[in-house]
Amino acid sequence: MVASMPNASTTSQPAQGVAVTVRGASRVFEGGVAALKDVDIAIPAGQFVAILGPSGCGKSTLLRLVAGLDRPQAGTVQVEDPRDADNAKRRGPIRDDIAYVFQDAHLLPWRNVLRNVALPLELKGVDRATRLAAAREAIETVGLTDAATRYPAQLSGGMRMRVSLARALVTRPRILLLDEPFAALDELTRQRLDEQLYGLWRRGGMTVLFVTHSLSEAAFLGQRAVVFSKRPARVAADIMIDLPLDRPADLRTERHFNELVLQLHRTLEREGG
Amino acid sequence: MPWRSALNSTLKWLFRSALPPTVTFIVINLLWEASIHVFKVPRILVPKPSEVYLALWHEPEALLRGTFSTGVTALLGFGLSAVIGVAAGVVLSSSRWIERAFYPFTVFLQTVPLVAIAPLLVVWFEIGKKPVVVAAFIVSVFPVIVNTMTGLRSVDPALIDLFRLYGASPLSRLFKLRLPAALPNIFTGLRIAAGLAVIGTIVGELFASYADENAGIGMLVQSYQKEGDLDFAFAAVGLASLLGLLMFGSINLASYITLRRWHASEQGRAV
Ligand SMILES: Nc1ncnc2c1ncn2[C@@H]1O[C@H](COP(=O)(O)OP(=O)(O)OP(=O)(O)O)[C@@H](O)[C@H]1O
Ligand SMILES: [Mg+2]
Repeated sequence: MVASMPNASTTSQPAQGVAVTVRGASRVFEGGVAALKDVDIAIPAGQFVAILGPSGCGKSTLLRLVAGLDRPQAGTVQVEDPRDADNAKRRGPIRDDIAYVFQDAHLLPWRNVLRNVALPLELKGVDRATRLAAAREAIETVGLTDAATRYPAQLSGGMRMRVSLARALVTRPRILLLDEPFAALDELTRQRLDEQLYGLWRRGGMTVLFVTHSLSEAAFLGQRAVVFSKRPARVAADIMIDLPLDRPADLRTERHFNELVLQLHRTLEREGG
Repeated sequence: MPWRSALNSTLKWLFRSALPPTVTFIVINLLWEASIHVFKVPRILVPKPSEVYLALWHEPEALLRGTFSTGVTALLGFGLSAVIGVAAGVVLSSSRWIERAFYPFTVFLQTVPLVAIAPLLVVWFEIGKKPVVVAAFIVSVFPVIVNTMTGLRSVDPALIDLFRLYGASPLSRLFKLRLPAALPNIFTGLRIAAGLAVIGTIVGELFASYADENAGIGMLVQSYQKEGDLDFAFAAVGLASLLGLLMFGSINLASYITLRRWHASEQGRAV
């Protein structure tokens, strides 16, 4: 029941992800810290990519580049609509369709859940009735309908993260950037949210870049895992996750799943993580 | 229903925060009265609290009118500080260059000796309420500016990124993010300014007001002292403090009502 209403409208739409192409991107911060060096990644539209790598290697930096919040010193980062390649080249990155979930919820503490979730639409100038309706729908999707009028200070950490996720979903993004979104939560809550997110992706078809430190989370969610080296980050390994598209919760106990986790573990260990 | 619970928690807050200081106040008055009896302090040095209250009881008119007059003036000065202080904070923190060019001069407001410029204010604005309002403004605006600037600058960078991501205009960034985020700091500035505005008013009145029927507390204290009516002078001083307290309390209440649902500084007070 929780997630059935909004899906009706999302499933009727075709897969609508966008493609991300990173070519030779480098980012050196003031003071000489090189976070990214010659990074090449091509992500086709609608792919769910898990990003792994040692702490401080440059994963968040990459997400910020893709979101257009930061620029590389060398190389290019392109976000393109595959159905409309010429147009995309003309107008550059498709900023309008990007959503970003930070490691912490980062809600506006003076707004209740509903008005927090409606914020992105408000900033884009969507009228009040439409944005509140969309916000209610997104809140229902993450199962927080009962908490819509509460303030962030009155929510648990897990609820706050779900509000943050709803805020990201409210614009129907075509690319979703998640930076260790559930890292601070207990294992069970995290698994539940992972399953919810996976369901949303299956129905919505957006492109997802998901940074995580959890190998099993990466294997459970990703179609592909990109492993970064120590700083400055390069792509150290690019592993396809050949699990079926349907991923029930008990997939985590299966042998092949655990072999994949082990493979990720070895790769990461080799890269000094 | 929400207003009912708001009223309820406001009453609770009043009870919790007003009761302890009231008890302290009564105890101090009793000790004061007792020690004047015990140590036989002469009346021309310190009056008994009972005499002060009697003075207030028998001839309240001039005192209350003076308090009202001072209160209005202080409120005007404070209002100017609030509006101009917040606006100045917004302008000064809008660019590093503007800040570098103008901020050092706002510090003058903090360091200028009011007693020295009060006579000048009288020359510029003529005797009456105007120079007094300006004096109240000058001494109370600086904390509002500084605290507003601090608040506007300490916005969570991730939220700034979020607003950029959704293409927010500078105006909606100001009104939907930076100003609300600065509110706790702005209230801190206003709290300090409220007390200072009363002080500025009274000092201003010493220089710039008539001894007419609208004479403020500053004027009254001066004339009572000259005539040796210490009980009245004390009553006037007490009323002035009460005025400051009232203004401070109103800001506290406003801060509580505005912030109680979201800011740590106002949580755990009631509820
Ligand atoms: N604005 C900045 N100025 C200077 N150095 C920075 C800045 N942002 C990041 N860095 C540095 O760049 C490196 C990569 O940072 P980044 O946040 O991308 O790492 P990360 O892979 O996301 O790490 P974690 O897994 O711990 O979140 C770090 O060494 C960090 O100190
Ligand atoms: Mg990071």
